Amino acid sequence: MSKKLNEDQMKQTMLENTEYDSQDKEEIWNKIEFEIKQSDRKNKKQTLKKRYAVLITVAAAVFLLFGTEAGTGYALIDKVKQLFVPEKKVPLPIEGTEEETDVTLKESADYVIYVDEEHYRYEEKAGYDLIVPKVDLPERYPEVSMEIRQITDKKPDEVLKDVQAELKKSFPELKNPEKVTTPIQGWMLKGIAGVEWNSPVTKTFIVSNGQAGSFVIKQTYFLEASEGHAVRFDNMLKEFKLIPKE
Amino acid sequence: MELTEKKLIQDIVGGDKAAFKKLYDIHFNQGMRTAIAITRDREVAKDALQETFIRVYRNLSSYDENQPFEPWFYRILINECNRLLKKEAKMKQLVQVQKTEVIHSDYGKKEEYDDLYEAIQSLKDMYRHPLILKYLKGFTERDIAICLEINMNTIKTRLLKGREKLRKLLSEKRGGQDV
Repeated sequence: MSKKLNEDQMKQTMLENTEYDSQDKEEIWNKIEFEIKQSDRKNKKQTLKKRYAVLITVAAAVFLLFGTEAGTGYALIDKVKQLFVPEKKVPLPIEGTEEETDVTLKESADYVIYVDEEHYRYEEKAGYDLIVPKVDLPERYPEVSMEIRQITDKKPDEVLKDVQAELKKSFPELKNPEKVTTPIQGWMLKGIAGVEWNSPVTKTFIVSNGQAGSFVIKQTYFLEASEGHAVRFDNMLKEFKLIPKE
Repeated sequence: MELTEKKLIQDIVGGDKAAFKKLYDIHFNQGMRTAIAITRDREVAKDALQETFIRVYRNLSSYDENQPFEPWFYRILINECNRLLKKEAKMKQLVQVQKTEVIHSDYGKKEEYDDLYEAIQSLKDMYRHPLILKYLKGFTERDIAICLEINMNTIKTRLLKGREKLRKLLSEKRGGQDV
């Protein structure tokens, strides 16, 4: 069988074996239309309910944390930190299989995060914190890191524009900002500079610091590491929690 | 991206439901066929395609229209197929004990495919998905790389190895004849 014939046959067999009922198109469309209408209606109703629920929850949390012990801020912050166990195991889906990873609590003044110390080390730098591979990668690999930086005087929407402009310089094909809820709630900017194994990738999250500022969490890796380092970074980020201010 | 598709997407983001129906009409056929090939199950394929269009509708506002639409669309579709297949596998595990007899009696209903399609479907996903995207969807290697978020050289290698494996499988099936 020649290469050309082989390719034609590949196409032909796939077409022949993926036939579907003519009614499927309308049936699926009706379901899509119904689902969209339902969720639009539901969203409208829930918006108001949610606003009240959030207010009540926040008020209750503030009372529980601060209401009973006014004036003992540091003790309270310690109390909050104590809510986090120093070490734990978390499931981690890596390249198609699920493994369990030990993670260790790291505390900064404003947040806590669980770091996978089997693979990474946590470094406190001037003005930011950095999580990098425990063993330095050989030179042929591009940078791999997750940087956590706090900007205390700008809210996420303001920071977003600055970060977007900065990233565009290295990632001309930077995707539009996306609102995400996982691994963390906030804005996400993703850029890939090329389609080679070592093409740099950034996934940058901009989240509120719970006050008038933001955290910018920048993951840097390369395309081939999308199923490895990127998954491990996201997994650590899921455990990122803010420390309430006194 | 073609100008008409770009306009269509802008209209959908602006709230035009008819434009969304047009987008559905354009991508239904190949989307459905790809989902059937990926899931090997028409019912799961229908659910995956339905969920994909709903996700596309909800996320179009964050989609970068300067990027090609189809690799983005098919990335969502393949993710949905994989998600539903995992869910399906868990369900099957749960009922396996009670349903042993039923499964046994259903054995004869297995869909019959020709040798080549059966061989394609017997490959690992890492070879099967790029082959489906290339030959059924008609994607270039670059589109496949963007869609699967894997580098282009890896895609080239997987297509090449996938075809080699197919030749070997068919040759074994046909008693050592060259294919």
